[in-house]
Amino acid sequence: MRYKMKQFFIIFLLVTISFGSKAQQILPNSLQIALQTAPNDSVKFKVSRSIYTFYEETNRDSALHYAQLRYSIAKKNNRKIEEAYCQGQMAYQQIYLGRFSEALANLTTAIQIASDTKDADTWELTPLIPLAKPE
Amino acid sequence: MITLSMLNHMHGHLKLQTGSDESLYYFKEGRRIGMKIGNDFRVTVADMVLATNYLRLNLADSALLYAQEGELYGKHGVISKYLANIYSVMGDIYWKKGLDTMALTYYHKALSYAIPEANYTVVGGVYESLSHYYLAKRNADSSLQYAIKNYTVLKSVGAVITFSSRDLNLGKVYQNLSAAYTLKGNIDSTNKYLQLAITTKDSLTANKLNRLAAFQRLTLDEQIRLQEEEKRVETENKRRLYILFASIFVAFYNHTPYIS
Repeated sequence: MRYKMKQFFIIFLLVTISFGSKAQQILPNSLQIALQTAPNDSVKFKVSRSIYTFYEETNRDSALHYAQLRYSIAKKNNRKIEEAYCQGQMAYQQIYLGRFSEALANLTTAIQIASDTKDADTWELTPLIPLAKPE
Repeated sequence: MITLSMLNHMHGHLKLQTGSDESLYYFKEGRRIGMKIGNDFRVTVADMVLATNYLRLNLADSALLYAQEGELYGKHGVISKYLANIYSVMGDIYWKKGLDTMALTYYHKALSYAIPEANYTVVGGVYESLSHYYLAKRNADSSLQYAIKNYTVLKSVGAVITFSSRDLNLGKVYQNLSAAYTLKGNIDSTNKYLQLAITTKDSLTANKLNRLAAFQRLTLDEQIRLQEEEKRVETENKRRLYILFASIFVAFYNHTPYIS
């Protein structure tokens, strides 16, 4: 009886662990490789957007890390609108991490930049599809 | 413009999380700009958040309107990730309106979009809604089943997920488990999970309050700084005005004999 209980407990534990790990967020290899082999900053910026989206709602620390990476790429290349956009992404993560002050500072700066700069010819920010009122 | 739309949207989130009523204004502004530039993505996310927030305010009809608009733009732009969120909130709206079958249909539709996209925020949220749904139907087994599923999801992605106005956390999961065990008549498990729910919720509330207090202190300091800045500018202006008057007076006095 005791042996059976032990066996049941082990099976239960294994099932629980397997269910738990099923939902773990593991970044696809393809994205990691794409980021490592990106030929230039523009591509790196685009790939890191996909990685940011992957983590966006479920791992805010990782999402914030990639938003900061994107921000540093934009800043290095003096891409003002991209900078502002990434500050918005950083702010979003900071809000839900409870870091409201940092979020407010990022948003205030970003809104100033976005209002002062024309955003023609930006790197890809979000999928931009011409919109007509759908049927 | 797309950046301005997004930043307004994020500002809405900040207002929402810091307890300000202005959040709806910013979400709508983000949507308006999104419409103006023709970006399905920005309109869909705005509709999703507006629907969630109108539902929070018990305005189910307005919520449904935004959810339906969001569904149209989400489908048009093939924004599957947020379509899952929209279907989840539509489930909640129909549940609120007493249309149980519709609610159930949309919960499962949300899961069918969210699971392949690994959108665990929606998966966890829908499991929580389904647990409540079956609790209300007094179906203890199904309620418990979804509460356990929600526990598994939350444990795997982190203890707390906050999305829009919806908090998913272990405290709520323990509460749902406790309620399901009550329905099953299992007193020991009811008490165990109730205790866990209280401890976890207390800890989460304390954390949130600390963060809000720090933010309010910051905004208060900023207000004081702005008031001081205004006073300084005012004093400086007065000083300049006095110097101007004094200069005019001196100039006038010096030139009086010449004029006469």
